[in-house]
Amino acid sequence: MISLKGTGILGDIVIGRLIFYERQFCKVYKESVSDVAKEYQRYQAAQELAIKQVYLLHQKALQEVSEENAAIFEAHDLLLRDMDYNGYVLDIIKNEKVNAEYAVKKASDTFYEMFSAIENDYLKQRAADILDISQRLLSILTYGKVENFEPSEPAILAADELVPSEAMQIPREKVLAFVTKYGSETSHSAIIVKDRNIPFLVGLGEGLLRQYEGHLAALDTYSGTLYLDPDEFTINRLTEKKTREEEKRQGLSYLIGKPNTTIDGKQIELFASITEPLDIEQVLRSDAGGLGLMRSEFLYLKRDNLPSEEEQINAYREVIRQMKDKPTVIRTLDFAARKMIDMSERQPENNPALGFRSIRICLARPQMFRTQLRAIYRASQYGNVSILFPMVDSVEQLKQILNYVNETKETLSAEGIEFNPNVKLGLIIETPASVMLCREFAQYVDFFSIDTNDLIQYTLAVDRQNPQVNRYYNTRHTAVLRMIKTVVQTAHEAGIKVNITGDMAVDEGLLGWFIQNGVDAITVSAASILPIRQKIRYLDLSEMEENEII
Amino acid sequence: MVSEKIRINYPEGLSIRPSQLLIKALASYNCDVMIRFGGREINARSIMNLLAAEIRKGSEIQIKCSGEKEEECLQAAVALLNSISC
Repeated sequence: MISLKGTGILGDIVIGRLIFYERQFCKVYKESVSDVAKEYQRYQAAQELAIKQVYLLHQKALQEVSEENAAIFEAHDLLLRDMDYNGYVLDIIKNEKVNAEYAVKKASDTFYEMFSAIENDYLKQRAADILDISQRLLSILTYGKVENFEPSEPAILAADELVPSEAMQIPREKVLAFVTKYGSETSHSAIIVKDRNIPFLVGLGEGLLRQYEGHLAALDTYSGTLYLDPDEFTINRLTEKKTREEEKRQGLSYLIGKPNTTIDGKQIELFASITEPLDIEQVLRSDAGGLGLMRSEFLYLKRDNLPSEEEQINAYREVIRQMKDKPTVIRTLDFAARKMIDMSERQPENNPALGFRSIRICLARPQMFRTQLRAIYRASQYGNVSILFPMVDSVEQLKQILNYVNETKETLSAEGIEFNPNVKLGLIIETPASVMLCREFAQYVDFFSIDTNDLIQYTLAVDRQNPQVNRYYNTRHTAVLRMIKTVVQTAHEAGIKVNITGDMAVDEGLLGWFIQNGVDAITVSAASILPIRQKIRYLDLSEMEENEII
Repeated sequence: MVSEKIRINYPEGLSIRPSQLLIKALASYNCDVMIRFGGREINARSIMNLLAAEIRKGSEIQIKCSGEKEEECLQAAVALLNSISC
């Protein structure tokens, strides 16, 4: 398979046989004539017939393309009647005493050169119009008529260049697409081809060789690529792309039930996040693959006591039941101390992001932590639950957490209370410390979830809320990307999965990079699920360069 | 001989479409019509000449008519070129 790059006109994907456009070949000889008047007559008869043909072509064009674009054949009429062009032809016949064919060829070359030399791109294209009418005159002089080319079967038609009449005269049902070595998207041919709704690739260059006559070809005018002798992978990929491009025109609802696969078949899970149980409705509508993050802080906010075990079970159960067997990941309490009512009296912290927060609070208040763990385990029998622990910065800390987990399970068993003993446990990777320790962590937990907001903040030492430094907050910082790569590799070596949450998860420019680097899932708001799924489904990693993906 | 100067303000300059319209408008007159542009005299009835002259947006041209109904022809040409908006 080889591929050629050009400029695509009219987005489409076409697979078919490549046939070269056969022009009536007029070999022009220079012949001396004695009867100049007879050559004049021959020329004038050819000119008259050409004018008639162009008139008919204009009529056909008026039916198939816009009036404005059909006007190009009116211009051809003017060119055929042009006193300069005709004067030039007649002068040559008279002065050189030569045949009309030779004179037309010479006029054509002269005027073609003149237009080709013009710097203005638009006018340069008009050289093709000169070629078009001259070809017509030569065909008439040589054969008495113009033989229009038509392939026997519908095909992808190839040519060095296409003149407007060729673009117009070919029956629509016989052409799948046009591909040319030269030409530009501003040519009259291109305008006509586009108006006739025929996919067109121009400017493919010298690689469009005659030897591919009859070969299978596939073209993608979205990317401007022609594949000659395409392999099976390319054909499947392009067929898939065609389907998806057609879907694209129908809004987002068609994406419900569709997998998050790229055109070249790479997959990633898309999960939603929620802040309180009420949000679950939107998640169900969004067709997320699961709940990648259920925050539990709502239970502790806006109140003057701690939530009871029963209260928590009710809240979790409501969500878990609705998610059915889709994964639901519940994060244990994760906020700064000042947000808790019974701690608000404490001395304010200079730097809450680095302060008493999250798992540190839980481990300092075992009773509160136990209650939450018990509630999650008790609710676990209603669906597919995992628990996510934030801010863990050492193996000792992790072991401490696991002790609470085991203690909870043992107590529940002893009490004869039902729960799912196989609830999966995960860690949030959000500090450089957790990145450095992920190999050790991976031996104890079932998955990682990278919170990119915190990882960026703690790695780049940037407080995003601070307007003086927020420009340093960068979702594509190499240091952070490299950390993610390390975590994914390490996790996969240990046989566990990695999910991404936060600002990087919604940076669409990173989707390709995530998939390429093996990230298993990303978690975004419910409203972002379908737009991101759509984005994923138009990605084609096989078409991307490494550096393009970041 | 009568003449008048006008400025060409179409985005593509005096391209194929305006040229076509001009030639059509001149068809009903028999006088000579020349356009003076960039030190050259261009036959306004020849599409080749008009296109090859590359009269771009912003150019000033002088239209000159001489012969039968020259004044009427000049006014028709000026009116047409001023009416084109493409």
